[in-house]
Amino acid sequence: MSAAPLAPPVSSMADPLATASGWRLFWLRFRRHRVAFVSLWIVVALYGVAAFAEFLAPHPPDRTMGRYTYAPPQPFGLFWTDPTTGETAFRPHVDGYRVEIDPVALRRSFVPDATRPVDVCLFPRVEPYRLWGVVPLEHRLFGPCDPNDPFFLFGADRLGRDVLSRTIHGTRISLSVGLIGVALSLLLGIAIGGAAGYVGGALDAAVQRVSEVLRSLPTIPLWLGLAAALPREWDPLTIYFAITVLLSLIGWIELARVVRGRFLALRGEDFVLAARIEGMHPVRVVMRHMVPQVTSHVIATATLAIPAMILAETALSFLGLGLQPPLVSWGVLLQEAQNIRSVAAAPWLFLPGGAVVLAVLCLNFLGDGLRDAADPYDV
Amino acid sequence: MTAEPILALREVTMTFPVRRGWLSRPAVLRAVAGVTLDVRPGEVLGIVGESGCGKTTLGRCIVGVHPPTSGRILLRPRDGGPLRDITRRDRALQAELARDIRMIFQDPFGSLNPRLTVFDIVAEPLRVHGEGGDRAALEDRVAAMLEKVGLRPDAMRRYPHAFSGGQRQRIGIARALILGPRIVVADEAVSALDVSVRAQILNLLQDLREEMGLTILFIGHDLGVVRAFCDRVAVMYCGELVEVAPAEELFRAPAHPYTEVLLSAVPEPDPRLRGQKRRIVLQGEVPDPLARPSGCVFHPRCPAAFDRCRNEAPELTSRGDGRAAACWRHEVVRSAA
Amino acid sequence: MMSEHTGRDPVPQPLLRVEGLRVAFGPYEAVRGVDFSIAPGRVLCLVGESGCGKSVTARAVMRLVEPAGRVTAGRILWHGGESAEAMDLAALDSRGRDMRALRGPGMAMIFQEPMSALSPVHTIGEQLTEPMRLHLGLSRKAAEERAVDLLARVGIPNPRARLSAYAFQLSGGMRQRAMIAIALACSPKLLIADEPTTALDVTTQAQVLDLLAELVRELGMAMLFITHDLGVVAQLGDEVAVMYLGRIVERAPVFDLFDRPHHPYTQALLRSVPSLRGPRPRRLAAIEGLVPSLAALPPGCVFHPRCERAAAGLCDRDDPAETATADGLRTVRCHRVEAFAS
Repeated sequence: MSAAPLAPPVSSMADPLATASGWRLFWLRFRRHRVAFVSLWIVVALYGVAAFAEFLAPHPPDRTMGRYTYAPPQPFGLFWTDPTTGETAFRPHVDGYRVEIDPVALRRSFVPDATRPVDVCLFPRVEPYRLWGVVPLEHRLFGPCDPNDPFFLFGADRLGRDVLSRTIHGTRISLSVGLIGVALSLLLGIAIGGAAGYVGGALDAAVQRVSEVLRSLPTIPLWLGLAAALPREWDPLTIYFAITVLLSLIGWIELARVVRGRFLALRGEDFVLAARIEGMHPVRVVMRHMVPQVTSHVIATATLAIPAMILAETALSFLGLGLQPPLVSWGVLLQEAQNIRSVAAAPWLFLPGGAVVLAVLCLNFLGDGLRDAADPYDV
Repeated sequence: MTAEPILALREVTMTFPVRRGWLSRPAVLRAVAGVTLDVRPGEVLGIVGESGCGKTTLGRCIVGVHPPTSGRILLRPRDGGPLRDITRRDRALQAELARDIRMIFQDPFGSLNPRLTVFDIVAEPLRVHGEGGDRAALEDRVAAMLEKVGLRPDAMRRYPHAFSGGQRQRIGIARALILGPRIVVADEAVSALDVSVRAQILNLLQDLREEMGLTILFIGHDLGVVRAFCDRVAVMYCGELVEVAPAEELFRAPAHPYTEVLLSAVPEPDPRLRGQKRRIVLQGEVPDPLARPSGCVFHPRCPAAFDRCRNEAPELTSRGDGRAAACWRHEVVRSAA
Repeated sequence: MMSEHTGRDPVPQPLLRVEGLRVAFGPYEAVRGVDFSIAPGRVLCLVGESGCGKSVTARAVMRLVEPAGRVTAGRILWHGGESAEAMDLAALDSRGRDMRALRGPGMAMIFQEPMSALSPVHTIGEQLTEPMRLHLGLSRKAAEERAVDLLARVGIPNPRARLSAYAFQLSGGMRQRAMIAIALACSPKLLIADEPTTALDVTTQAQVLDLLAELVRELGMAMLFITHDLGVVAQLGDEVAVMYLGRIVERAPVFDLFDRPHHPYTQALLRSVPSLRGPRPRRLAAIEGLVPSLAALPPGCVFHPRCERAAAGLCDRDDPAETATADGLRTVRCHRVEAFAS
């Protein structure tokens, strides 16, 4: 008879890698990518912020404190030294404000004043609000012990609104635009790219030509045109959805390209051929043998597509054609920083831009890491 | 020698449109050109030729990857009876035939889905064809099959990446044989393997063939392997069969000039043959399959071509001793006999 | 282990002598102490299965394994320079000027896949003339003349027209010929051929092998030929070195090796190659088991788990040293060689 059963060669049965599934190998490869791994946790944290924005932000996004327009960021300290007695005690606080009046221009400006501390508490009691519009809550994560005290870690804007709270609330919309937009792009991209790659022929040629035309259009003017065509009377939420749909109309192309390319390559693989010869239903061939091979690539490409969406939304809103107040997104917030006065007098209005940079960088690193891990020609 | 064929090819032709740019008119590539061949039950029939000669395409027509452009493929049913036309197949017929005609692939890395365990890979045919019953019954059958191909049953829980090339090829053989097929098309099944492992796999196939009564179509380019493994050999050139003969005869006295050229080119593992072996150096190159020469396809390179070869294409004609060749020179020999 | 036997070789002064070469990729050693030498006008075939380190050895001679790999020990002595002193290539900077000056006029390499070794964006003519102008200082005109001669010499029909062809416009066999012509551009003293015929069809392979044999004879070059095909070795080699897991297990003149292989691995390899002559074997002789991975080398002689003649308590414990036969022409790395060699 045939040769005696062989001992396992490459690795022993005890080797966990031998029985590791494709996903596990993917994860192990991804773990080796340090920057991407750290970025993953930052991205998870950012989406956590987006999810619990109401609870995490010290103020509601639209709460105005008219007394404190363009108040600068307050320094935060854990210990406070009483200037009269000289005693130092544990007392989490931010410095209060002192008003100074420019003797020439007679302009009022705020200066943080260490002698007038504003006490900061964990879980302060605030006006009742609803998390996600559903869960009634009366506490926030942190904030001034007295809700009427000024508390502006990122400073205040033109109307005396807290930039930190608005940035935190903006996270929700800015990040979800990316996510929902990419989800829509994914649906379109996988359906169109998959069909083109599996069927091939005339359909493939048609899809290729259409996407080439779409790719050759300059995106910002196209978005601007489409966004300008949205009816003004729509409520902000409808506009929000319309904008995501607009963004994904362009976004699917790259995904479709990746899926098509992978499908074309896979279609010629022997194991797909083997499944076809088996007389298997084409849907089963696609779902069992082809889709699992492309998922990791698709996830990587989709992750890389999210920052593009975020930047596109930010750009549109910054130009005033995307989301409109009272919706709060990072783009809407940056709109506040459009004029020279705010640049000169209130540079902290750019802080939401920092959030954009952080999110986009981390998502890009994450996407790169996922792509490297998905590439089977590595290792 | 005149056993009824289990599989018969009649004038099988396979053409592909080749586009050179998306606006140009497609040219026609004749990958397989009118192949007529009987495969006898229980034999190992070797199909040899150089790359691009159409041997892989022919194998794929037989297993049903693509239907031939013209010609017929006939299969003897399991219960005997007359040959059945299986040229055009819908999915139901393809699924039915997948129990009878199976394939072993060349690339031990590309032929196994990297995301599935060995169990899922080997059990898939059983599942698709609704056999094997519950998980435990499936596992028993897979374990038995793995043991047959020389792998330990606990291999089934691992993924293909944990195996070497030779072992993967064993897994591919297990997948091909688990349904108890009658015909196996082995497309360059050992070409990607190292010498020592190649011999293991060939011996395994030999054993399984005897045990399971398989008919094997062995597509290959290594003539030494084909000689050792096959009972009969068919030589292809430019999509056509140029010679069919019992292996022993073919290697002893090739009838077609191309076979002769092919044999003379094989480097033999014996340095003493260095000076003695008469190597026939071919002129020119394999013709562009888009522009086939007139007459005999081999005539532009043939050392023995004469006028008739340039104008008329010779048919593959039997010589009566189980050998056949498509050559006018061979025709002369036949009429003289 | 130094190779004392080379002193008694009847062949002329070697052009290249490799002593105790070791190459590591990260924690794994792909070449674990290799000795050989090649003389001008001779062909040394390095033969072995995939992963045995034959290609790495060849690349290490050209110092092309860096930066992924590293030559960790050994000497690569080059006697092709002007001075009588040998130059140790292992001590040179792999990307330095001396090494670069040596590639081309000193040694040249041809690969299995000409498509990946030839530039897709330069014509054959440009790729041929550039090294000549760089290393030989020829004028454009002279270089082009020499390029035409070379293409004609390697059997490319209509060579002048082919100067302006791109690699993708040539067939596989023609591409391999073009690559050989490029390798010969600066008349190297040593040609390293890494499985140059493996991707070719058998009739084309025969032509390329004939060409290489002719060139060696005619130009008096030395050739290091890497292959897994013992048939090719028999047709081309003067000397053969059989490699297994990073070591040369047996080295001998080609006739001796095929007539009387000493090492059990060589014997098994030769048995497992089906011939076109003689009686048809009912079964092929296989070597049982698998090549161990470099990450988990067996103790003692690395071949002992697959060896028919392995002796318990010896082969699985002690690593055999290289021993030379009395005539000094053959070296074998096996404990049991006296027990069965005639």
